[in-house]
Amino acid sequence: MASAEAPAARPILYSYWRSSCSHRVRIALNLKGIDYEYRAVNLLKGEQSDPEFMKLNPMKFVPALVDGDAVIGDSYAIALYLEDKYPQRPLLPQDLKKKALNIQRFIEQKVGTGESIPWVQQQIDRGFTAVENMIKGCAGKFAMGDEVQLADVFLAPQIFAAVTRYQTDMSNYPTLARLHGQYMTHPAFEAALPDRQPDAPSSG
Amino acid sequence: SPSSPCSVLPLLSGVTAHSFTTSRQELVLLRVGHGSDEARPVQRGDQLLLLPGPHRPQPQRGVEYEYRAVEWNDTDYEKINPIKYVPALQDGDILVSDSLAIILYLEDKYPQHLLLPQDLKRKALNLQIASIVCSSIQPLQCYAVIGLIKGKLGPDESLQIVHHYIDKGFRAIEKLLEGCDSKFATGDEVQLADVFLAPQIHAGVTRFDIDMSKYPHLERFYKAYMEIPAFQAARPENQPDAPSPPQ
Repeated sequence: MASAEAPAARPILYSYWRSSCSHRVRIALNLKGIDYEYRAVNLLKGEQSDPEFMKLNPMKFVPALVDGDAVIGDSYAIALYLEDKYPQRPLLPQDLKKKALNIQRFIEQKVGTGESIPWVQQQIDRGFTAVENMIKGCAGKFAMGDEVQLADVFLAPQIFAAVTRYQTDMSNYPTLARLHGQYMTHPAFEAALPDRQPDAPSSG
Repeated sequence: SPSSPCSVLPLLSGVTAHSFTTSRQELVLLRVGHGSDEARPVQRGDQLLLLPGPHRPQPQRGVEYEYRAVEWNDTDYEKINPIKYVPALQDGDILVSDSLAIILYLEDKYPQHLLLPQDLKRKALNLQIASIVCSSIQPLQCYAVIGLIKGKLGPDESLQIVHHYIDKGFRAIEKLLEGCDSKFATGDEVQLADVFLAPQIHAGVTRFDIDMSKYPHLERFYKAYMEIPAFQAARPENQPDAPSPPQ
């Protein structure tokens, strides 16, 4: 993504290649065309517990965003911050009903923090069933219509993780399966994929 | 829609699982009422509030709503809200679930007493604190409570899980608020973070024996929340479906 303003420092994203919460923010940054510096936090090595990182996010979660003097943890807070600060390519519609649908979160709890796989699969099933029911009537290209919106930013990493890490049978969620296909060919989403990140392990 | 029974209840705070001893999850379906033509004075506790009709310029003091309690296995509720999560808000033809989405919707629709500041850093801090509560504390607490109810977790194990996640979240929030000397979490007015903190602290204190002295900012805020009518009215024990206290 080309840098447009030389004087202002680029935002810094603290991310782990595989973290689906970091993945969300990467998509949002890419969609808005925001050039950012990627700083890897190796969760397997426990770098999230480094005192320096804990100053950025005391919950020890990625992602964290540093933008000038703003320091923000939590992908939801970061996404809404980006929406305000960088209004180009808005991710939220004006219409209150559509906006509400975009900001609903269906898989609320953070996964990957030590819960058992069957429990995570259960949460995924519950959330995906709900989303599938809500959007199956939608004839648009993406979750809420023909334009990419915040709902897609949050859905794409969840579907990706469900498919690649939790053996989710997507035939139960045909609309989500179709969306997954869309996301996998959209440039902003492709560039945000875990294995495209600087800290992804090189393939053999 | 017709006006609800004459009681004004202020803005919803994150009501979630009810007392686990009743083995019942409290789900709330709210219908937002619209003002009648005449201004109505309404007594709520020691507050006299005036609900304006549509042409009166007085600022509204609260959003009137209808409270509907739903039981654990309510199949009717599932038809209305397939997600089955709590709470849910029905406002005309809009159905919103997820407490954070509901509150952000209310923030847009009813701009009186805004809960988010304009300043982007403070706004982000409010959202981050809200998210810590509703993504990283409450659902894990709920998992432990449900595990206990269903017999998958013993009482000690369940409580340990609750304590672990509350402690982690509260310590992180204390860090984020280091040096804060304002009356509430992000200023001298109640904001979004307070709306999320109050129920979580309340649950910790009343149900899980949390020692709030470990979290001095949160302890101080909690004492302040106890004095606010909007918060008092929202407490679990004051809801229509709260069990009667034992005699």
